[in-house]
Amino acid sequence: MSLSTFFVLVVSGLSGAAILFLIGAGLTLVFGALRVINLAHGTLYMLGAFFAVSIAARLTGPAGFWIAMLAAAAAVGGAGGLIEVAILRRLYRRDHLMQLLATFSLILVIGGIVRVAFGADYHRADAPDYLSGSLSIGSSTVSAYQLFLIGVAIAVAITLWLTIYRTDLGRLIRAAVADPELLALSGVNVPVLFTGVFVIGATLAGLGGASIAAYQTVKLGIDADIVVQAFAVTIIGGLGSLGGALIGAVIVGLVQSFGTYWEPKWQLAFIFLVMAVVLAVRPSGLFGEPER
Amino acid sequence: MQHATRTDHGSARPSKVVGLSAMALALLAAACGSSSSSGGAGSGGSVTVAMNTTLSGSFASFGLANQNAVRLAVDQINGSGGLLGKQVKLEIKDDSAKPDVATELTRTEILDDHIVALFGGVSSSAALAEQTVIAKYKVPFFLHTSNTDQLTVKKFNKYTFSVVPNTGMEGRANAITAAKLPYSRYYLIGPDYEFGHSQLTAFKTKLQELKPDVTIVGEDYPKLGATDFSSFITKIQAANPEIVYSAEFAGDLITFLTQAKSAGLVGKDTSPKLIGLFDVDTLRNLGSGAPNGAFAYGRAPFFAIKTAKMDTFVSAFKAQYNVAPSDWAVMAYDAVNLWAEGVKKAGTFDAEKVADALSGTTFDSVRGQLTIRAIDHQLNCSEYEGVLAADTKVGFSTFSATAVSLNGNDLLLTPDQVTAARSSG
Repeated sequence: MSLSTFFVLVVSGLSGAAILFLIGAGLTLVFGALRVINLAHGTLYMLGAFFAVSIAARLTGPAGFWIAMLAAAAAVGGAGGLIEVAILRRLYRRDHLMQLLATFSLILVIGGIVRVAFGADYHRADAPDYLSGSLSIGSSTVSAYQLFLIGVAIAVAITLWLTIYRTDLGRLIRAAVADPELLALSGVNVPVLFTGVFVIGATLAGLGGASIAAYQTVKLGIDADIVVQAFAVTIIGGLGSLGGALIGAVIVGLVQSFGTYWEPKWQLAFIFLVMAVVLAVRPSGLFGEPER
Repeated sequence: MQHATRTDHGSARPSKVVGLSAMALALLAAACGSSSSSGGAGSGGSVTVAMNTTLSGSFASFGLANQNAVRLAVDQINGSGGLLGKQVKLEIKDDSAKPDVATELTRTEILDDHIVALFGGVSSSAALAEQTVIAKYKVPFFLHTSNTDQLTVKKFNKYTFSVVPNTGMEGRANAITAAKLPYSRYYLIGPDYEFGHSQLTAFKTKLQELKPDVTIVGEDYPKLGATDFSSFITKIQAANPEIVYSAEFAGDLITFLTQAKSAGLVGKDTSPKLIGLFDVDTLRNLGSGAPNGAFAYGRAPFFAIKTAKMDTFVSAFKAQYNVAPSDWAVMAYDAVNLWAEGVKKAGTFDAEKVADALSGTTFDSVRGQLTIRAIDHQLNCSEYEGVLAADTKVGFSTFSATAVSLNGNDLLLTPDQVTAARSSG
């Protein structure tokens, strides 16, 4: 393999990791604070992609792409808030099985709504010209869009880190992860905090979906694909750990990129091979702690 | 999603959460099997026919085109007094491109709704599954979009009819065109299921026969519905072909082209040439983003077919649906009318008699006077090819200016080849 091919595969792998991180971060954040395994998290990603495509189609001009992306993420965040207040809030004291059933039914309900609202056909959006081509870096030709995806993920990672470790909100979220009952006793409105955390998670999923809307066709079913991968990423990193989601995403992204290059027939298996190896060594994932 | 259960094996000592996640994945896998259904049995002055096609996912644009065309054809039949005095009731169901779903739908339609004809769908894998069921219960079966040549060659039965150029015909047609081009280093890419493998094999075999000095520098089969082609694109770039031959289509083709452009594989002066399956819907979707200059092939593009019947059909279709019909609409429309022709000829809806009446018959299709061969019930329809260019008359890129039709008679296997293939097991 030439050095330039190697470099291109690294960029591809990191761009895949970028999307997986956006999805996985929300998934793991919601699990960490709310202790809910949200199966419908991938469906929020799909919703973001559909929103972005349909908003972009109504906008013209160079800023349309960016406005569509941010508006779609915000809209999914709003939808997430509604879902938390209307449904999830009732499930925190139930066991995981009830949560799985409820969030699973959300997949079907939202999927049905998307089918009615957007149709079953595939959709596409155009990226701005400066993002749709390739760039030469040294002897390599890399995708501008992949660099953009990596940039989005880095920006999100920094923002999340600052929010969690440098703000009052972040301190509350960390406290909720550590001991929600003590937090409630100290006068904090935990339900509102939980809604806020879920909105953040949903916004990240929506942003992930909106980010890929101009890089692949958007269609029903992309949620099932991505949520399986995002679960694998968070399990590898350790459910509840943001740093784990980041490392897990990078590992999975790179393994898929190089693995598919070397042996395409195995492309579906790589992610589970990684998961098997990690769980064999650390049953709670790389940065996970055993279940409370 | 067969891989979902592997999480169970993945964990040596799964924690509760991991176990639940595995259950979650299994639930997700189960979701893929759901389907809608509707009633409607033939009685009194009506008969029921059904179409199982794909109305969601990568294939949805094909299935929706099938649906619109079949509805139009059935409405026209009913509007002109029905068939043998009976109105035709139509059931359309979503097979989700899954063989197991298609099997179940077909069985229900035959046993509960007593259908007198079944129209196929998009997926070749689903069609192969349906073919087994219709053979058992003896129901005429019309293929218009799914096209693996197994359906008419090895797995042939007398109730199956194909009005779409099959994978063998399509692959050979493309090889005939490709052999005339001045390129010899090929990279092949196609979706990883029955159609992709079957069509690429036909192309490769015929190309190597016509032009022995070609080199296949690589061959890949990304999964159907793939969302990330980047590693494949890097592989293609590293192999440095002169031309890329693709059997990707619809949503997958658009994703592939978007990412190929992004990686610099498409759209540069130094880029390899491209041969690809460009149906009317995909071209419409690509709009100004179509890779003009690419060699395109299609199965029934309205802009390349000059018949009076096509003009009438395009007008009727546009009046009903406000868009020009795609290839998948043209062929599905032909399929219904072929069945109607068989019923009229036989004077009955009886499967044996309809099948006998259609075998060897010449039929006035939207694509001209074409014949259903007796040996494999394959219509001798053409494959259409040309170079993509902006087309102001149609409103998106087409290959109307350079379109050629490769006569189906030159693409079909000879009767001896069919017999040989069948006896080779």
